[in-house]
Amino acid sequence: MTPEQWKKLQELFEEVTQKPPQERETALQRVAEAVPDPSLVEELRRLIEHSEPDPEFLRPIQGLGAETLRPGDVIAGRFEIVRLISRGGMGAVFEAVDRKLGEPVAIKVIAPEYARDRKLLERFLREVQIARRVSHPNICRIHDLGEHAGAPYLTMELLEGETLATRLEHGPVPLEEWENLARQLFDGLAAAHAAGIVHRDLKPSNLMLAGPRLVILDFGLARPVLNQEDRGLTHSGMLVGTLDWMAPEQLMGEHDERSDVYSAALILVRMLKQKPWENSGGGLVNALRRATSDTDFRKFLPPGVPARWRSVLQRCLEREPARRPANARTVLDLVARPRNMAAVSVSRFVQGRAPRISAAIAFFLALIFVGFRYLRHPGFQTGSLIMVAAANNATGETRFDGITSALRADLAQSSDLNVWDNQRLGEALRLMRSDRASRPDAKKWREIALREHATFLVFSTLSPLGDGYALEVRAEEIGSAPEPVESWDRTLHATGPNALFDAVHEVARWIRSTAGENAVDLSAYNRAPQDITTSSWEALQLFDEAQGLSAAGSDTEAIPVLERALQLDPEFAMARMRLGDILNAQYRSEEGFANWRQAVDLARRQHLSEHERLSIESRYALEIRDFRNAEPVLREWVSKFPNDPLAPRLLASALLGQGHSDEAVAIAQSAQNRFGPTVFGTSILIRALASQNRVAEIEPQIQALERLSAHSLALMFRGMLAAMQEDYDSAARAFRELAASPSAAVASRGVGLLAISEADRGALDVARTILRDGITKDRAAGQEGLASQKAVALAFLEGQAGNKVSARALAEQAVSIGGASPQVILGSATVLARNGDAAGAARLAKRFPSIAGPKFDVARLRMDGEIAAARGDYRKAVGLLERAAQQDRAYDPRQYLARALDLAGDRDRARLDYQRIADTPWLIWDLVEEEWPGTRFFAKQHLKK
Amino acid sequence: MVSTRGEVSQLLELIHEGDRSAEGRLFDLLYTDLRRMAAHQLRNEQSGHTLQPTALVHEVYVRVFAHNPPETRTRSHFMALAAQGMRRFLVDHARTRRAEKRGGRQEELPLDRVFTYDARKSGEFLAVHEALERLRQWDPRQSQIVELRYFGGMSEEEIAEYLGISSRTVKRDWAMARAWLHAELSA
Repeated sequence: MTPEQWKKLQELFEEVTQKPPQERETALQRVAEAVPDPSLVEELRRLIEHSEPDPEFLRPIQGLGAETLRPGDVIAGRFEIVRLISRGGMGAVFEAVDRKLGEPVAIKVIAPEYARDRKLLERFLREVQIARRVSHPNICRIHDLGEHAGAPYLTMELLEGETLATRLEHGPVPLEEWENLARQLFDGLAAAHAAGIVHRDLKPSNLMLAGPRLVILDFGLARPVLNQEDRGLTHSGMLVGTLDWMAPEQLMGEHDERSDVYSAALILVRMLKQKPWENSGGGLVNALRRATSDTDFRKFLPPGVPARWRSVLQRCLEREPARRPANARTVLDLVARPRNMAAVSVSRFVQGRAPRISAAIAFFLALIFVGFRYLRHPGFQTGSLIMVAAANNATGETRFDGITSALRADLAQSSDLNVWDNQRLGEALRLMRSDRASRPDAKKWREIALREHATFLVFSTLSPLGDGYALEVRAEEIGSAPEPVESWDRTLHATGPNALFDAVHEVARWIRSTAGENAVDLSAYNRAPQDITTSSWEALQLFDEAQGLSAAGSDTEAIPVLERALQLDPEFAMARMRLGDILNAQYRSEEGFANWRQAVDLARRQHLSEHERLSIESRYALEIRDFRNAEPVLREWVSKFPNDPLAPRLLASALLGQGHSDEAVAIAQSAQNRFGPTVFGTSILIRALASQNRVAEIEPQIQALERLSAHSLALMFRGMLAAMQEDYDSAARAFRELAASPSAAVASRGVGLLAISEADRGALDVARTILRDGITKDRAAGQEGLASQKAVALAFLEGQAGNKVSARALAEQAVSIGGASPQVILGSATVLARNGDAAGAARLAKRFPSIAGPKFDVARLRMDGEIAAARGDYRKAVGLLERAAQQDRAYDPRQYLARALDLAGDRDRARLDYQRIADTPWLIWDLVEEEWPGTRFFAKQHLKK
Repeated sequence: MVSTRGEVSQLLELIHEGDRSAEGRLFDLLYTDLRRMAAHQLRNEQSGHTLQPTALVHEVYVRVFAHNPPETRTRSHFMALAAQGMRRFLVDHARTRRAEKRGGRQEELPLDRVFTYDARKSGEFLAVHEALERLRQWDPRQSQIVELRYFGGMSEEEIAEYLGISSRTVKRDWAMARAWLHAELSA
């Protein structure tokens, strides 16, 4: 071959290969006629035949950057590679250990080849941003994004298990498991849909089975619904997704939540089949067939599939998107409806003022409304979360540091916006693995906003201007990227400190109306910041400082700061409430309740915004266990401020206290779906589920807590769950792990829980030893309050064992070491009364604080009842204790009443009460901090007699 | 152990100034690194199967430039040299293996573990190398494009940048060379 021949050959080669394959033979023949050299034509023919080799041929010898990582390698100075998990289209996934936190993580490293591809890179970044917006047990949790050697990486939750695709190779999924997985799949999708995200590429290989848990992976193809700016990423009409699982409309390049509903349903049908039902012929053929002809998928379902799932799945698989359920949440509602009407009515209740409309009209409205809204401002919707960054005070006058609190309090009146609670700042920084001590800069705030799903972020700067001040405010709309979507600026002038309050108020109103709040609400909730906080800038500054201390975990230091604020303005209700919160958390209940009480009085005298008033009144009512009065206040809160995520959770808790667990579960569940899981919300839901003994549904919630990094709480519930099922060894493992916590308070609680669990299985001696050691440890660690609680528990067990003297001694000791909290006084007095010291009990009862409310009334009645019983007046005892039981919370074991009935000779009623305790394992765990060990064990023993 | 960025940058600068001998020195430097790293990785039981040729090139690159990625032109030049180095390393190794098999010697270079991982490549690259030598006689540019892409894992854009031609030309040459190589290798 000469260079000239080769050049000619290349010309001819290109000429022929440009033609479509079926025309190439003709083209070749034309060349053969025109070119005199037959060997050249022969060579050309050979090259044409080889012109489309296997794409693998001559593919660069693979050089994924990820593959240069080996076990022991460390990425970004903190993630140590353990092993390669999988290699996919764009990179590789490794198991690694986060050295900083000592936790295992999965780390996805994008191949350098792809890191240079801007489009792919954008998609990768999008995956991160999108997945971060959703936090749900059934969606793979994304932690961090970083760069290593020029290649981006992201760290995710490490999941142990197999993909559904692998699983299906071994045959269909058993029906019992199927229904659970189906729920999880739609639950995860519902969370994504609620955040405005469509997955678009659901398929078995994107679903991970981690134990009983199903996790949706790979939001790389997902993107926000109807976001115009994203159109560039995938050209319209371009096929996105995997043909085998694609909804018909996706063939036309269209997709929305209902496409996910379709794909999910298709996967669920396939899970029950031995083999794919479709003929071979490739994904496109099958997808087209599904798109052009109706299939009755019900015939593929085995007979055991519940009827409600049959009909819902068939609806999900309608060819016309409009005939399918609107999103994953609707699917779940449809499946649940015949069984549980409460869920439907409650979701309507929580959503507040939304009118009921037919599905067809809703669909039509959604089209118009959503389209319109997105054309205006994608972020504007009620319930938007607004975050107020700490103001930059450039005046040199520290008293104006409180301007942040003033602005937050003013904005918090809005019924449309949710103001991000600054208490969560420390938590957010911890979750982001950032330094909690340093003050976040603008970039960090935007990151926090992105992570917390805030829609608006407000920055403000106060600087001196002439004789007065200039307040510059910038409101940024946060989209799915760190850069703001849009921003608005405004500067106001204030002639002096008082005028500055007016400026703050003006700014708050401007932000609220910019965010789309309507005029009616704007004027209905329109109190000036100095009225709802304080008119003393100095007090406000102290309040702000205390909030900061508290967010950084220094509650103790916040107390004197708040006290100083209250000296400046004794009517500063928010500061009162906050002080009450902190004092109570520090076991200083008498002072705590006194402050709360005053805060409630101030709130009633209209010194607060409506929002703050409802919050204070209801929280106080809950604290004193006045559930009956808390409920209407909370319902008012929910209906006036339907976008506040806290209110429905508190309402669930008020309902639980009254024993309305059906409604509590429904409300807690619906709040989780609507607002995403929070530590508090998840705990309430777990309590509600446990009260109904819905054990199987608790585990995913515990995992949600873990995802929220509430590890101790997760461990506590895990132990309780095991103990409830009488798997005491697992319970002991969990509690021992808690007891090994580096935090003295957490460790002490672990010890207390362990003692209760051991006593519950009847290992009373073990429980006593644990408690004795625990008291020593608590006292060594300066945890006197917790030590005294344990002393009461131990005293109770000693008494049960017949050791009256040591029981009494321990009871006295409990009161002397722990500062005598109401709970300890109740316990010690009870032990004294039951062990022959009625006078001592009466003496203690006199020390009980005079706080009003059912919680304290119950305690007083109980002490009086125990004293009456000790003096042999059983009838009086039963009378008092019956009154206590009536006012007590619904999930209290109330063994005191059973005991008194037994003493009074009313064996039948005593038996009934003991039976209830023995049959309801949750009773002793609901408010376990107030529980004494062995309550259930002794009840069971009593029944055996 | 591995060449530093300073050293490499200095040589790259000299190359840009037209010092042909610097290119030779840089090549030697990189080649030494590649060999050393390959040997090191192969001694390590754990990593045996994760090592792949282009990965080594990337690793050399990453180690030199980890904290401070160079500009595109420097990068492509570096990658091109590394691709050549890789090619020579693989060919040398394959020849040694072949000789060893004939001579019954097994001890010295247990490199086969590397290549058996990617079975497709193990028999392929020596054949590709030999075919490229022939192609070079009548179209050196096409031969080089394959070298850069196949042995060096460079993208079309990088190759175009390095050779100072358009990506379209790279694409066309690649299509032609690939067809020819496929024909040759399947003959």
